[in-house]
Amino acid sequence: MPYGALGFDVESGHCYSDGNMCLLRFGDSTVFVESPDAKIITVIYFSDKDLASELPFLIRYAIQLALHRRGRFHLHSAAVVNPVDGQGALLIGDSGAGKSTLTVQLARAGWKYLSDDVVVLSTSATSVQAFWRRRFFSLTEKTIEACDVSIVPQASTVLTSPQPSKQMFMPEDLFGHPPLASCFPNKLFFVSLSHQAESVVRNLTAGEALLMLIKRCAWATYEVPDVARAFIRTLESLVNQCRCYELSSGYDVLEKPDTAVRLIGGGETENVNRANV
Amino acid sequence: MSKENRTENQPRENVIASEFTNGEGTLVDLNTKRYIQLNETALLIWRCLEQGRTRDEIINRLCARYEVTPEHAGQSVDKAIASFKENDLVQ
Repeated sequence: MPYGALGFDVESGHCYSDGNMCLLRFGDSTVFVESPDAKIITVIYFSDKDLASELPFLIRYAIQLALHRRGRFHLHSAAVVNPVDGQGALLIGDSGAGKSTLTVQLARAGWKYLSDDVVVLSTSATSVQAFWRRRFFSLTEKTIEACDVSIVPQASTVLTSPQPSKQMFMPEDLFGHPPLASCFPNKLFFVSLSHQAESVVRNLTAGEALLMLIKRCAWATYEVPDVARAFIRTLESLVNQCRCYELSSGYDVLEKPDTAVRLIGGGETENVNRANV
Repeated sequence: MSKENRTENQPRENVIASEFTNGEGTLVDLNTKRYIQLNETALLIWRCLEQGRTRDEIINRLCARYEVTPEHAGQSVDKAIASFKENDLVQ
């Protein structure tokens, strides 16, 4: 391990960076990459470990680091598109924040969708585009219950989830239409569960939104400097092309199916905008 | 202007400034992982420091952009630079 390396936890492992290189450790296995121009990412895998549990993480993070070096950055976010005005919305939050519940509610109401969990951001000359990275949806029993228990068990494709508490499904089986490959986001929602009766939407300044994004994207500050700079530039461009909100989801999202459309689609957020003019 | 003046209070290379459509901004320090938010005036002062401008030049820029006295502008510049120094964002 390099002396002075700083790090942060990721799912099933830990990442380190000393400003010149990045290193990810999973048990005895390692993903290693050096400069921003690196053509090779080294994956060291020890076969005495459980292949099925460890290798997918190594491959996932090796691809993630390779994408960083091509200006593509992951964001833990669901992505949906309003069928009325074509505007894209990213629903950003940690696991358990309610991203999947909102996405399923919106998709069932006819919204287009990319992902319930993660997207890849790419900057063109004029804007930031979000691409789906994970095809399947991963839902908890609670989300399945809240969103209509009769639909999910009929899905034709049921996959095995690495998280025992969740079930994976191909979304086209649930909604009857396939995911979009990409969208141009116009709204950012930082979502969380409020455990209150009613959901609350609060307007965020661009500065607040960028700092919240950086907190959620540890690589934006831990990557080697040139890559970190590009990552932060992408997040800055994203904030500048979006209106940004904090959404505390209440029980109304579960109890009234049209609540998600009202919150994400316009009515509530337009009121917030006017109140802050 | 002397070279000495231009090299004073230079933004560190590890600090990334972001700028928003409302004129405000943020600074992110890649070394410490800390960040601060900047109002419009503080961002303008930071940009001037990036360009190597002296205190007097920055005061002139502020007076040209906003309806403020040189004394008031000078206080703003000193306060902003003190904050940048306190957070080790300039050298």
